[in-house]
Order: sequence, then C-alpha cells, then structure tokens
Amino acid sequence: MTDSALPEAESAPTSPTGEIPRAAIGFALDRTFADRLARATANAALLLTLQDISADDLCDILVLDPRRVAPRSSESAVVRRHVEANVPCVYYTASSPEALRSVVAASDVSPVRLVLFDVDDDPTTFREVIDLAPRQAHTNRLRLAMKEALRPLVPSVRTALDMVLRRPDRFFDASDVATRAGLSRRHLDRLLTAADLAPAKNWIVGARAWHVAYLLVRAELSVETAAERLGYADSKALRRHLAAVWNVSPSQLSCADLDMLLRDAVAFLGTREPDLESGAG
Amino acid sequence: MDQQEQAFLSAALGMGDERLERRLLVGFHLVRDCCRIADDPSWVPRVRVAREALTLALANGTFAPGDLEVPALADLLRALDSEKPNRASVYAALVSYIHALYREASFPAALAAHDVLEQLWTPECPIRDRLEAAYFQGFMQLRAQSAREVSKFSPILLALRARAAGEGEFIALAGVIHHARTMIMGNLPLALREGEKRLRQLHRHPSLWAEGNYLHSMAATHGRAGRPDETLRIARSLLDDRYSSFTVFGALNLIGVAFTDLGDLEAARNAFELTLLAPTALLRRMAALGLMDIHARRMERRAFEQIYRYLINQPFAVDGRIHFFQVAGRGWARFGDPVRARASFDEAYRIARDCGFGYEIFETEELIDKLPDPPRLAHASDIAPEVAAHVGAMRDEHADEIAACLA
Repeated sequence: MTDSALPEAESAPTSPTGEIPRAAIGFALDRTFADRLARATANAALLLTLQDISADDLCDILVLDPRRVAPRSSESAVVRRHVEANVPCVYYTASSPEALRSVVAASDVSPVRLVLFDVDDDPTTFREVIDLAPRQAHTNRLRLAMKEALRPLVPSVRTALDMVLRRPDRFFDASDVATRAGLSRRHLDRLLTAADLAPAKNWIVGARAWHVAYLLVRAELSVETAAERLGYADSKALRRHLAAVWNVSPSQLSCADLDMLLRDAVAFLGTREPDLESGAG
Repeated sequence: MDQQEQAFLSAALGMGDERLERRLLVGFHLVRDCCRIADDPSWVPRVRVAREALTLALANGTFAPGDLEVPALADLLRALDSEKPNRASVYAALVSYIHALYREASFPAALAAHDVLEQLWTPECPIRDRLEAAYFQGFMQLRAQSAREVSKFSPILLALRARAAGEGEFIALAGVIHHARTMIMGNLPLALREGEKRLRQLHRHPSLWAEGNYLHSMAATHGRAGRPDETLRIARSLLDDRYSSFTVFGALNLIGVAFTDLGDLEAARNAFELTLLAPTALLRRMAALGLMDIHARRMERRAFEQIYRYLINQPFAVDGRIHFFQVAGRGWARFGDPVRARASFDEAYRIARDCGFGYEIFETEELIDKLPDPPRLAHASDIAPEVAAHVGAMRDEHADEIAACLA
C-alpha cells in the first residue's frame, strides 16, 4: 500500500515465504472468482474492487479477469495507472477459449502470472502466486529492459541468459550458463562479444545484485538472509558484487532509487568489460 | 505470466483458423505445466483441463485420425500426469510435440514451445533429444519469417553440439540445414556443389535421415534452376520405403511441381493427389497449392477459387506462403484480373524481400513484369475512346484510297 487512504488491516501476517507484509489487492473479478481469491488470501490481505480505489491510491497487487476490464472504462484507467507504477498484476480467468482470447487481447498489461479458474487456484497455490508476485514483477522489470538486447542472440543463449535473470541462484559461473546454452564457454563468450554484451559471469553477478536489491529494498531482509537466499557462501561476496554493479554498500542500496538501479544494472549487463575476478558464490 | 506461456498462447490464438486454434489450445494447457516445472521442479502438473480438451477434440473431429499432434499430445499428457514427473520423459515428449507442430506448420507455437524446452532442460535429459530439437528449430527459424536472421547460426551450433556429444548423424543434419539455407537464399550453383559434396561425405558416415533430406534439397534446387528432368530423376530415387514417409511425400510434391513446369498437368495432378495422403498438414497444403496451380492453368476458375479460399487462412512455411501468392497471382492473371494478380505478386514480393529470399525476389519480379500494366490502361481510358473514334472517322474519309493501296 502506498497511500493511507485505504483502510488498514487488523493484523499484519506475513506470507509463507516471509518476504511480503500484508498487501492491498485490487481486483476485477466475478463473485465466484473473488470468493476464491478471498479464501486464498484468508483475510491476510485487503481486497478492494477497482471502483473502490480512489484516484490517488495504488494497491500492492492487482488480480484481474481481463474479461471484466473493458477498454476505455474507468477500471481500465485504474489498471493503466497501476501498470505505469510497476504494480504487479495477476490474471485470473477461466480456461475457456474466449477467456484466453481476452488474455491475449489485453496486450497493454504484462501479468506476472496467469491463474486459471478451477485449475491452479487452490488456496495454497494462489496464495503463493500472490506472495511471489512483487518479486516476480521486480525480476520482470530487468527482463523487459534486457529483452531487446537479447533478441539478436541465438535462442539457446537467449533462453539461458533469461534464465539467469530469473533464477540467478541456479548459476554459479559462466560454465553453468554455457552448459545450459549447449555451448562451450569459449563459444558462448564469442557470441556475447559479437552482440556487444557483458560476459556470462557478469550476467550472473548483475542478476544476483538486482535480486538482492529487491530483498533489501522491498522485502527489507537482512544482508545475511539475502545472501543466503541467493546461494552466496557469505555476505562478503554479496557486498563485492553490489560494489561491482552499483558501487554501493548494502545500507546505501536500501535508500537507492530502483529506477536508477535498473538503469545501471542494464548498463552493467550491456557493457563489455573484463571478467570480474571473483566467482559468483 | 511466463513469456513463453504468453508467446505460445498468442501463437495459438493468432492462427486465423478456429479448428487449428482449438488444437493448439489443448497443447497450451500442457505447455503451461512445462513452464511451471521449468521454473519450479516441485510443481505438480494439473492436466485435467488438457485431458478433457483432448478428449473433446478427438470426439468432435477437431483432430482427425492420423494427425501427428494426437500421439505427441497423448505422450506429453502421460509424461506430465504424475505427482513428480520424470524430467527426461517430459522433455522427450515435448520434443515430439514440437516436431508435430513443425510438421503442421504451426511455427510460432513451435518456436515458443522450443523456448520452454530450453528452460526445461537439465543434464538428465538425453542429448539426442536435445540435438533433435535443435535440428527442427534450425529448420523452423529458416522457414518462419520472424526468425530467419537467427537461422544463420543454427547449423554451426548444431554441428558443435553434435561433435561434442559424438553424434555424427547430427553433424550431417546440421549440413542439411546449411544446404537448405543456401538453396532458399537463392545461391543455386553453390547449393548444387555443396549438396554433391555432402552426399559424397555420407558414403563414409551413412545416415538415411540426412541422405533423404539432402536428396530432397538437391531435387528442389534443380527444379529452381530450371532442370525439371534432374528433379524427376532425383525425386524418383526417393520413392523408396527406406526413406521416411515425410521424405517420400515431399518427393511426390516435387514431382508434381516438375511435371507442372513441363506442362504435363495430368501427371502433375496424379502426384499432387497422392501427396494429399501425406501424414502432415504442411505437405497436404503444398499438394492443394499444386492442384490450385493446375486449375489455374486449365482455366477452371471455380475449383481454383475454392482451394484459394481454403488456403488463404492456413499456415505455411514462409517459402510456401510466397509460392501461394505467386500461384494465386498467376491464376488471377490468367482469369483476366490483373489488379488482383498484382496485389498477390506484391504480397509475395514483400515477404520475399523481408526474408531476403533471393530466388523468390527475382522470380516474383519477372512475374510482375509479365503483367499488363493496369494503371496505363486506366490512365488512357478517358482519352483513348475519343481518339479511336476520331481516327476511325478519318479512316472512313480515306477508305477508297486505303482500299487502292491494299489492292
């Protein structure tokens, strides 16, 4: 919640992952769908219809059935305002062809997840989706920013680097990236050089730093916990990587502007500089 | 929403043909689960909707018996239908599904599914499956308009992977992609030289798969180079049970095209009608296109338009789409509709230019040159009748003198 105009919750439980405090969820759903959302969040979140959100308010998450948001309606204006403010959005709709067609038609929103009614909307899964949405939206910001830079690469390399951006904890050094791309390290580096992109190791470092930014700035975790989450042996390596990407310490990072961090992270991934000396973990 | 999931859904719902869309939506529910597993290995797939959709599609005729997608989807469903699916089985089943999509010319969906496959890969997945997927991906990139530029790397990357894995057959198959690319870009002399060299190499490392594909490519290259006799000779050697049914029916299609070029329309019709029995929609559509061409040459407008209306919304490989517009343009020109013919040729030319298909660019330019120029006719229409009447009157005035000259 970014504005105090919306009512406060009685209690503030944390998510199963322990990352997200109680959230305000704006929704545009039919009654049955809304009931399931309420059951999944089990009063741990504040649910608001799009009409209930005043012009100055922003929710933490949107859960929308694209069939319920008519183009050029007042709801659509609310959605647009949230999209511009990088508020994560989850699509929740039926599995019929008509409903899926509305998902494709609503191209101005990039939902972090598509949840299908009666398929993956059991309370546990739905709750997990809601909890992880902010983190996924944060990851997607970097992925979207790098999308054009990745486009000219061969598909296996493009997918491998995208995977690095999404799950940097699964990669330790450039060999992991090369293996996933089905290439030798040398050939991978040759392709990255040709595309004028940073070496694979820098991608791991940059992606990890971006994830750290979320854990420290948004989830307000300690440096040690953030380091553990991302598979670092200790927080020293994490600090070294933050310094390499942004030249900041973890405490300075907590006060930094995310837009500026994103710009620098993109520059770091798109710049060919010598390999960082250290490994990733 | 996962990017690949979204890409697959957009591809599925952008086919322009309701039946094809329904088929791809069955796959969408399974591909979704593959995306989830790639992201979270502990994900328990939810295949109920896919199973119901598949059953319904089989019952209402959305899938025809013998469709390649059906066994592939059934395998994928089986592989996913478990609390803890085996990654290698899911991977292998997804490779088969991508293969089926390729054969059905659903290239955008197949390419999106291939990206999911890349994410799904773990070291436990068999290397041969990965190489096979890379081989089909190479062809899809070459033949799908959007990804042609990337296709130049496919052969070398496949060859490198195959060499590292000690899979000689896929080194030869990487050469097949390269050869097809050379042919499609329009360098026919090089394609012929390269094909002959590679076929000689296959004597040392035999592979029927690669051999069939090289021969098919060589036959097509000779056809493009204006040697239908060579096409017929090579294509006949492919009508052999040793080769896969895809290769055999592909050869029949080439025979049909060669006979059409030679003007033997009856023999061409026989070949195309046989190709209609092919197990893949891609080849069946090419056969229908061949028949459309024959109807145009025989001035059978009704039959021509019937096939035209059917094919206009069907997916093709990009070279097939160019060929479709060329055949349509030639047909309209024969039926005395130069404006429509020009529109078809312009579309063929645009696609050929976008893709850099040299042979098709020159071929379409020649076809456009042969058309009467409708703007010139249109511009002259206001003055021509008046001048004609004037000259006619003058001629009548001098009719006797003219008659004396002619005597």
